[in-house]
Amino acid sequence: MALSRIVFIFLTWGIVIADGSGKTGEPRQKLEIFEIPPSEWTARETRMLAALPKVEALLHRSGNTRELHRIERDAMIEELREVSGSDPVVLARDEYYHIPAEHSTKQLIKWFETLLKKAKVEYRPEAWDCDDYSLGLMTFGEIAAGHDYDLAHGFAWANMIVRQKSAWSGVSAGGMHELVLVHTHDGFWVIEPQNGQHVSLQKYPNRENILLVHFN
Amino acid sequence: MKHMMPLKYFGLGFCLVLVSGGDLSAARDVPYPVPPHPEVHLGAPRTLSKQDIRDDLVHLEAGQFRFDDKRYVRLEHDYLPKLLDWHHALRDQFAHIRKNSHVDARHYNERAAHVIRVLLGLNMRRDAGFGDAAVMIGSVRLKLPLDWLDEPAGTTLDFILVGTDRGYFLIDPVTRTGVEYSEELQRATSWLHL
Repeated sequence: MALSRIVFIFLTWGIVIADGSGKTGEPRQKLEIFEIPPSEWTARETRMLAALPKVEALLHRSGNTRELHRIERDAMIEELREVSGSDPVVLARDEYYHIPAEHSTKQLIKWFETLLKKAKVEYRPEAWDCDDYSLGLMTFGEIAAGHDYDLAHGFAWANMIVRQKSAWSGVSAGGMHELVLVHTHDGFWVIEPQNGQHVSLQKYPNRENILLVHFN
Repeated sequence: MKHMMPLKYFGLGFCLVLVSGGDLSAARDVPYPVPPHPEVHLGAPRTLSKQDIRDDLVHLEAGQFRFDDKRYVRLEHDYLPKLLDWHHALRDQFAHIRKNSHVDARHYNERAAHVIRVLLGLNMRRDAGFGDAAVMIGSVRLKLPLDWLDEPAGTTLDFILVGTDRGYFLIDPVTRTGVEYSEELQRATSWLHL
């Protein structure tokens, strides 16, 4: 009996060593990666659209040089809470964010509205609704900014979800709504991407009902 | 690494500023490739609710998960090659970043997911046949539990998340590779946005 126990333990330990420590030289598990090969699709159809406007970022002087100004994430979040009076969930991956200039932000909003008109974009529940408008404007903001600067950080654009207690900018009260928030050199702005209207956060009627802010 | 080479080409979005020294203050039109029309899976169930997806991805644990919509529609798995061909046509045609850029590679995959979703959404907005549902394309951030090609285990990266008729998959558009969104990868996910 004792011998069989010893054999069992020996055999068991042998299996544990082989599985756990890799000392037997067995290869590690791998992800089962598949390739996505090219298809027969070619870019035959193109559309012409206006070039994205240049986004200028706030600079500050540092000695003899001018550098991209940046705002520290926690300070920006604190400012958001203070100005809005809300305590939203904030998602912000970067430690610092760059600030777009006000006039650049306005140009980008105008560009996006032109795009929507030209493409005859209309609201459609779920398929193209407020979160899609919001993601669209924010995405093009990121792209436009990414062309002009050697960015070490993202720009301070965000999607913002609010409880729509008050009607604003053509969107009636009720339920939840998603818009764009951006920190310009003039403070936070709220933008309704469906029609380009924008206002400072201090004047935004649903500022105390912000539920979530997701920065770039 | 394969991920680093394409950093020279920040391929996203359409009609972008070509940083080639032209007069950027004068608006000019830029051609962009129209995406191949998305092939939506119309089998049963035609759409999945947010809860259905949450139930499928049951191994998502600690982390932040954001679902923008109430219902989603899946793509045909066979559409993925065309989708990536179009994505690469955008990258090749439009966008350049300066050399020695400090932009982290992780920005590109999440941003790629945003652009793909936005542009496909625009393309599909008048489509009928699947009711009112969003296309199931999003992004995840995770710490690789195992190597993914040249990216070693332990690296935190973003990937595109796609729902197809064959399941849920993570796609790296840079290397044109994908994996099934397995239990292990779900557990390693810190951020999901769909």
